[in-house]
Amino acid sequence: MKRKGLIFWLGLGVILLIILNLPSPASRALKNTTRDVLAPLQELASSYAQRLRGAGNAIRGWGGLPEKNQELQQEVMLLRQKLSELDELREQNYLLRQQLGFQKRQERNLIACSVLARDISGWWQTVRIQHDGSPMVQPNLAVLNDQGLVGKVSEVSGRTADVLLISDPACRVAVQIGDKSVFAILSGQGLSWRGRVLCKLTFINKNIKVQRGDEIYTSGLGGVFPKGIKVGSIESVTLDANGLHQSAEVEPAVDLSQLDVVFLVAQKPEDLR
Amino acid sequence: MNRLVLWVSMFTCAMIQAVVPAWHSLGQAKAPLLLGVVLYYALSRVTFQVLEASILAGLLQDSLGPIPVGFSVLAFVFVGLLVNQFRDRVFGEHWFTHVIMGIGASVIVTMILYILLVGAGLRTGVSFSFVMSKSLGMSLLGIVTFPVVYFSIEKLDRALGNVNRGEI
Repeated sequence: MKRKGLIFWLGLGVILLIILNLPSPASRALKNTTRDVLAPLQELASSYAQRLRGAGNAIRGWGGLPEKNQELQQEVMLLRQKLSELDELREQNYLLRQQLGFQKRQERNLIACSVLARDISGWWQTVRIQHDGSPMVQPNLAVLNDQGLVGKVSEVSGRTADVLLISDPACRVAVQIGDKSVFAILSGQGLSWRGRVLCKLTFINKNIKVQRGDEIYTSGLGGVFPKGIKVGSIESVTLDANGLHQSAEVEPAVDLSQLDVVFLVAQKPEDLR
Repeated sequence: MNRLVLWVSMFTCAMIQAVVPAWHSLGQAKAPLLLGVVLYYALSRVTFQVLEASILAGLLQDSLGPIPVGFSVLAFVFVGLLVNQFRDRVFGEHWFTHVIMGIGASVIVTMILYILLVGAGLRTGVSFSFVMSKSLGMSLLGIVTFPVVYFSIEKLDRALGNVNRGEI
């Protein structure tokens, strides 16, 4: 009996050790297979959740036809994004003309993806999105919607991808404050107990005046996020304890709790510096 | 039929757990439905089935999120076996047992995951107060979800003619 117990515990220990030390390709294959197999079920669950929300909106008199509403929302998102790009193009064109130079601005190639689910464990700030299997979907692509930057792709499987939101402490974005040519690093700080998304800007030059309401855009430095995507605006500014730099709290432009459709930016080398 | 109930309840709970929003005010806690399934098997089945349920629940949670494969498996197996040790000493079908076991299991699983994630350098920025509020949030959500999960699976088990607790 004692011998049987010993064999049981030894066997269990070995199984756990094997699972914990799975080689990276095997672990990735296991995750990807599970995700792809469960993607249709997740899509179903997600569509029911959306319908519930749509029904709730209709009851409150906001909605009408939820499907039509969603379709129009997607169209508006695309149009706003295009408009934002045109504004940026106009500004860039002006600057370049001033410098007597010319550089053709490539149009961003956006891939629309629907949001399937959020992180199942609650330890990360991620969402899972569904894509059409396009080879252009790769890790580290910038993700945005009509309001601004959402995050970046962290993992990709055949039909789904995980997006690390800008509110996650592991997500760092090289940003520029308005038109001041001030560069800084934005990092996620999770959520407050009221559910407010917190982000922090660090290493801002202390000699430059930064104030509440200043808008933050991606700087294009760092090789992940293309230049000129709106990230948020400054809420408050403080001087670091060592007195060498300023820090600021940032309110993201995107409502990260209401993500239904997002766009991946298929990057072109010209977009990054 | 036993295995069918296990797989159906696991996948259903995983889908719901992934879709429901997290509780922001309490450490991003999510309704611990998969842990609820593990607890059901720990309170009503023999050790081998508890292990099967714990490993499957852990693999599902790890595969559907950014947690490295094996972390949730370890936490669920530990909790499953621990609760299973008390199976014959408690009123396994009473809702109060589910509440008490649920609170304990939620705290232990959160702590094990915290230690593993910090040890692996994956969540270094997470404060201990965040983990405490997460444990509290999971416990509170567990109080609501564990009895529901338990009685739902039990009903499914009975409907499919699976043996009940007294016969195992």
